[in-house]
Amino acid sequence: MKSETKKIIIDPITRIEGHLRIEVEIDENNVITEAWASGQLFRGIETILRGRDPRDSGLIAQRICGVCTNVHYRASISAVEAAYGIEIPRNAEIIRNLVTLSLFVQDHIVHYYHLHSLDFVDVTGALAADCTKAAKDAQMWSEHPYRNSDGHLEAIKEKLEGFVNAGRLGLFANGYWGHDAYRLSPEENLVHMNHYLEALRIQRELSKAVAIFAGKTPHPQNLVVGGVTSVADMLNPQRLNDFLFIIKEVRDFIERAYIPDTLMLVNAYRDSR
Amino acid sequence: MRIVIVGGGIAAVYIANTLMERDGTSEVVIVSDEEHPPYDRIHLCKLVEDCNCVDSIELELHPKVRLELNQKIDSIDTEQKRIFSENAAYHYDKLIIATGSRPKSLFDISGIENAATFRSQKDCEQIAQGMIGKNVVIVGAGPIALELLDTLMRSDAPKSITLLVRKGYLYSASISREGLALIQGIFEADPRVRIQFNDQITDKEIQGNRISKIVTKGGEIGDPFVIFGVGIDPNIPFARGILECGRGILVDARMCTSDENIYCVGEAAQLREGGFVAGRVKECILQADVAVAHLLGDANSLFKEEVSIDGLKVGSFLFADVTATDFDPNDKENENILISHGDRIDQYIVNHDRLKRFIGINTNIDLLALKRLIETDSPIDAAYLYSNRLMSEYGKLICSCEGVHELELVDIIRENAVTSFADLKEFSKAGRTCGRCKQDVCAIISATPVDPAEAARLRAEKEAAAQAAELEKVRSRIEKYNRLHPRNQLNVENFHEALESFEMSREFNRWVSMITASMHLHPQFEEVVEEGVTQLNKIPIIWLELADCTGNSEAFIKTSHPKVDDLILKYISLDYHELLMAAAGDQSESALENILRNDSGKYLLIVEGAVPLGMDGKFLRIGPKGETGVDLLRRVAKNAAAVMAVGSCAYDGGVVAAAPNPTGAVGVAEALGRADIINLPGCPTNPINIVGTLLQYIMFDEFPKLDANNRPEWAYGFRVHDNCERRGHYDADEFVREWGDEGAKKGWCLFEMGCKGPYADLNCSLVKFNEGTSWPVQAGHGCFACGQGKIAFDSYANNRKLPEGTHEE
Repeated sequence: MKSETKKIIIDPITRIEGHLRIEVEIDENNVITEAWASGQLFRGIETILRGRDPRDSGLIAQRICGVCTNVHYRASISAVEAAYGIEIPRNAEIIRNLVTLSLFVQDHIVHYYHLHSLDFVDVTGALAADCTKAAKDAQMWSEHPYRNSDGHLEAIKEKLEGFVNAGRLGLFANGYWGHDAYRLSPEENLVHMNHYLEALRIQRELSKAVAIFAGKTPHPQNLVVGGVTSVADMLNPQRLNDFLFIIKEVRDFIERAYIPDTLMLVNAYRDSR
Repeated sequence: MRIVIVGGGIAAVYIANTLMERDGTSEVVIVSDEEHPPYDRIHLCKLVEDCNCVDSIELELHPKVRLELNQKIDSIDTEQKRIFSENAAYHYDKLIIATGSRPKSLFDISGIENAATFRSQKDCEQIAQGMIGKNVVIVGAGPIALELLDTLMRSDAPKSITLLVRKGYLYSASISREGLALIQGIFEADPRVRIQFNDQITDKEIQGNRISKIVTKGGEIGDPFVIFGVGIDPNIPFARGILECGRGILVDARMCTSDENIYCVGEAAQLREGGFVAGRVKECILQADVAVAHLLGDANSLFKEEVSIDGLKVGSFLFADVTATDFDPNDKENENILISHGDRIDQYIVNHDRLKRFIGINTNIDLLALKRLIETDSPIDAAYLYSNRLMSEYGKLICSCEGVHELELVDIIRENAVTSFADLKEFSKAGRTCGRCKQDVCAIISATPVDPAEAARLRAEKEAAAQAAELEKVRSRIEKYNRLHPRNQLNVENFHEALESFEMSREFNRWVSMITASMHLHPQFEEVVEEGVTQLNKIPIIWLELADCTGNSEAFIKTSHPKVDDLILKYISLDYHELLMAAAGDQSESALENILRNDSGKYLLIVEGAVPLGMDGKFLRIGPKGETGVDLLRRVAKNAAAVMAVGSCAYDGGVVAAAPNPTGAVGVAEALGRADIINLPGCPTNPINIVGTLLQYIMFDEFPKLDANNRPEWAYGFRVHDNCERRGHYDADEFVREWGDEGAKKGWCLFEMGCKGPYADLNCSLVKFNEGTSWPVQAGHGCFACGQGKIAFDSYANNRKLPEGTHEE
């Protein structure tokens, strides 16, 4: 190791599932020359699974992760089905897909809005926005932006003011508010924050959509080798309707808020403008 | 499990009923040598008056208990776990002996028509028919003899009644001379009654199967009917030579005999330590509770002899008796203090300024207060006794078992418009434990006029007062938290502002109602629950993730599911949480150190995940210095105000500790070697149960009532099976037999598909998940009892029924 290099250890890495440790070496110009990532927890779920009845793998493998819980559940059960050459009914496949995709959509929305977006959107910046202009600006990225009337934006702005004044609030704590690396205009910040708040509700609805066919989330409980168990829910028009209603609402949100907001953000943070 | 109880009295019935209530899965059989279903011996006197009323003193028995009558047990085979009567054998997994005692007689009276003991329904029949026109001789001076004397005095049948007393006292050697004279006078007011002290039977003349004459030291009595009330022997001949016996069957403080599968309670049992033999119903019932608890797996419950309160109610006077466990009648230091007034005599026996016994005749002293005096070993001041300040403000004690006084009972009757003994059950157990005072209770009920409107008003008044007091208490608790942690600036107004921002006000109100109901609080508490929530941020909380999957955090906190619960948790001062903290590495470490230093003794520690102990704990390391999970846990738990283990992994290792437990994982309590960890198992734990527990801590300064596994009873006191929406189908024998069959489509019971709801103690079926959207049984999968910990992942996490007999509580 050269004398001018420095080693930095970051442990724990927060905002992830699992115990992750990163060690890096940087040279005199603060450029990383070497990096190591290591998981600091071993539980041995594979060892625990060994020797058990293959049909039981789902409920145990599922516990590998409480965040992407359904994929371990489904994958382990599918693996058993593949090994025994079992074909599952078409309806079961559909239900499995509906659950997986609901979680997929939810993960994306959360990841984008609630875990990442505040690195790009300045909450306090939105307070200086002109609401009429914001409503108009939003139309650059969507023909019918999601919940975009002047009045609604005005109300959102008021809420944000109250929110910022409220002091110590987990959701928005620890931001770099007002930093000049933020590139959105006050109006763009407001449009984005409007959808940030809407997304909170949308996520909650998606959790319900998962639970309709999977019993609960995290750690859903609706699969067995050979198919799904939630046949009563599948045959219940009210449950189908509830699910459909949520998905339609989410789709609307994605088309009129999520995708336009992404385009807006990408445009503002392009490397060359 | 098959539990067989030998005996036909109160103890047997009490044990059977308690077992059925506490564990409906066991098979319970009572084997009795009587021809009648179990009845209440306390009321035998009534039987003498009216032989046909045996039904009315029959004891209420759980319908699922099997009753085998006319089976006198002769022997026990402890190897094969069987008991034998003359013509039947019964297999048991656990055996409880509650055979009571047999009355003694001074000579063999079998086959003799005009002599009897006083113990069973048959005896009563014989006495009632045999005493007509006879010179009745009662041999004995104890409570039973006196009660019988009183009963016979009320009948015209006997020509004369002689009480033959071997020594010079009635009731007890400790009774005062004044007391003795008083009761003797009361009995002998009936010209037919004669009490002969220092007298006994010296000879008898028997012709055929009748005694024609008895000779006593004092003279002769012709044409007699002799009744023996001279004492009892434990009824255990079938157990001698098989179990260790003294006078009774020897038991330890758990009521376990020399065979670990056999328990013995009541008059048949003798405690190894101290040799105590229970003689009163209350003691038998305490012993029965201990035996049942131990049998169902609670090793901690032990029988302890208590200060006894006894009473004797005969026609014209009332006897009350409070006796310390260490009362020694022969102690020369005993000192008598007698306070008498008219036909009332209060006799205190004091030893070195401590009250050891109280015998009262027609007294209205507060007996419970005397009991407390003895229990607390408080010094007694004679002057204090003379000033007689222990007069009960509630009138005389009616039910000594439950400690209910006359005026209290009148209040209960008036407030609830009680008009019958059956009505009373819901409000008071008076008259139901030993049953001795049942008639008195009935008399008070019929003598107390009730008015439903007035009753409702009285009830409302009392409830309002109690609630106001409780609300006041809670408010002062919240006030205290307001003073704590001034650095957390969030106040009630801001909280509501934030709720507004998320348009959650309405949902929040719904949530408050739901959590209030889940915690079994009156709706009136909603307001304080709401206040409590707004104060959650005043408690600093450290949330450690150990060998986990983040499932509990995910269910609870992570922004990806911003349910109301999560939002509220934002308001907890969640100062350290790996998943949520923006800070990482060194900064997160210093955040932790700050709390440990500044909030020592105040912060709550919530732990998610198992604690791997294998390889010196190195299966998990956290932080730049590579501290092991177990070291970090020990360090942080040391000065925590309380530690909550959230999720099944933190409970006992959960899935991480499933066989072969590759990392040597254990739960938090075991890792710390502490018995005060609050467990909230579940996989994941329903957020409601975490929030409810925290709220309780804030509002009442204590954690909710915990069960034997340190789980809050309000959330874990239910079997999933008992509250399951599909329970009706179970009862109707409607089962899903194959995935996707007609039953599955109709939502029938999943038991045959391996649902483990009957083995799961959790409130999932009541609160459900994801804002009440569903839960595993509704999704047709069935429960796998995830909250039971690692056993769930080794035995329950599958879709197969448990093999017969493998389930252990």
